[in-house]
This record gives sequence, C-alpha cells and structure tokens, in this order.
Amino acid sequence: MTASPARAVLGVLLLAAAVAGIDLVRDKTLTRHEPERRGTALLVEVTATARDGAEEDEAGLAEALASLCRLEVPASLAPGSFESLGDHRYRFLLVPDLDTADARQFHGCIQDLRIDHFLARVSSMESVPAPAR
Amino acid sequence: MRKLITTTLGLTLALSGAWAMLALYRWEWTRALWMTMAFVVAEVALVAVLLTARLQDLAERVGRLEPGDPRVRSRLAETRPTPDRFDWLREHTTQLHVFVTMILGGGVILSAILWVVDRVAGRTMTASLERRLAGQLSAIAFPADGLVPQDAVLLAADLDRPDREDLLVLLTGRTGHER
Repeated sequence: MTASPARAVLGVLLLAAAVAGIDLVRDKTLTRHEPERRGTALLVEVTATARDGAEEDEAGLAEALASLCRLEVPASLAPGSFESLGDHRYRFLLVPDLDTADARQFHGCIQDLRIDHFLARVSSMESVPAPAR
Repeated sequence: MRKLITTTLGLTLALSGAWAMLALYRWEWTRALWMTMAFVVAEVALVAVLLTARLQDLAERVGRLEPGDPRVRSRLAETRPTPDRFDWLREHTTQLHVFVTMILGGGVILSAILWVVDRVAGRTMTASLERRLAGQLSAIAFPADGLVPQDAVLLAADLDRPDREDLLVLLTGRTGHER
C-alpha cells in the first residue's frame, strides 16, 4: 500500500498545523511572572450575591473570599481597605500590585465556585498608587 | 430519537470539554472539575449509546438473514445421520481397534519408562543406601584403638586386687591363680 504524494503532503501540512497550534496554546497559557511592581497596588471591585442558605452575610462572605484568594498570590489585603459600596458591590486593595499571571489567577479564584450559595464577579481590577505606610 | 440523543450528548461533550479548558485557563479550578466530570459522563453515555445502537443493528441484521429454501432444509433434515458415539466399542473384524491399540502402546511405553527409572534408581540409590547404613552402624562400632586400655591405665590399675578378677581375665585372658 503506497500513499499518494498529495496525501503525504496533506499529512505533513496537518502535522505542522497541529504542532504550531499546540505551540500557540502553550505560549498563550504559559504562566510568566514579571518583576514585582513596587509603588503600586491593585484596586479590585467585585459584585457579590449570596442566596438563601448562605452561612454568613454577603459582606462577610465577600471579605472571606478576598482573604482566601489573596493566599494564592504574593500580595496582602491592605488593612482596612475592604469596604462596601452598596448594591452588592465591594472594593478592596491588594498590596503590592500583581503581574498579569497573578492577576488572572486572583480573578479566577474570586469568580470560582468556592463557597456554597455565594457567587462573586470581578467588576474591575486597576493599578493605583500604593498607600503610604 | 437515537440521533437526538447522540447529538445532545455530542454537544454536551464538546461544550463541557471547551468549558473545562476555559475554566482551567481562567484558574477556576472548581468549575473545571465540574466540567471535566460532565465531560466524562457525557463521553461514557455517548459510547454506551453508540455501542447499543451498533449491537441493535447487528441483531436486526441477523434477524433478517435469508432462511434458505424450505425444500432443501427439509431434505437435509431427512438425511441427517444419527450419531453413534459408542461405535468404537463394538468389535470389527476388518479394522484395528484403536482403543486397544492405544492401551497396548501406552503399556509398552510406560513399561519402558519404568524400566529406565528402575535401572537408574538401582545404580544411584544402592550406593546411597549403603553409605547411610554405614553411617548408622558407626554408632555401635568398636573403638578404633580396640578395647585394650592403654599401658598407663593398666599400670595405674591394681589388677592384683581380688575384686578385679573379672577385669584381669578380660584384659590378659588368665586368672589370678594362674600367675
């Protein structure tokens, strides 16, 4: 059984496309950390919803989730920075600022289904000047 | 109906797989776990549906097989030979009896094997048994230097005492009165 030249060329092209695709996905999903951004902090605003059956009130759950997720990244919640903005919105400050990979990880942690009957969405994440100590 | 189920399962498979990959990319581990579970469930269900459909097709195909010409089948049934499974036990004058032949041949072969075993055992075991018997007899053998005590013992012993008469006879072969 011999393969025709056209079929062989097609196979080689498909193989090359597969390799290029895998390399592209690897490049896009690879975690790359950047040098620490000194002098800036990350201001995060989330929208949270607690349904009936939640063990804590909405603000307590939102603060607990922020405290939990900051353990996954090299940053801390700035003391006293957690505040309720009303209408299920909350805001807090992470110090120091996060690089792109860590920010994505923190974003995913906040939006993941971690606490029963509680769901949070990240409304915004922006770099701001770090508060003076 | 089967197409609907297959399509639904296929869509579930594709969507759950894509969503799992997206959740992994977004670092949403819990969502990724749930979607992966849904992916596996849909995969198993899809395989089960496809296999069931395939088996059903095969069963229907077997059921549709041509039964053949009825006259041919009846003729075959009429001429079907009656099996006689004990024919070999009956005596025939024109052919050798395979069963007896096998018994005789087997007997000859077994006898030959046993003869060889006997010869080998006779050559190897006799010497071994003799060695073992000699070892057992050594427990009751005479001392290598005989029963006569050494000269020093004899000198130390006062053979002239009257209560050593028996020892004197044993060692010297004469009584005290013959001196």
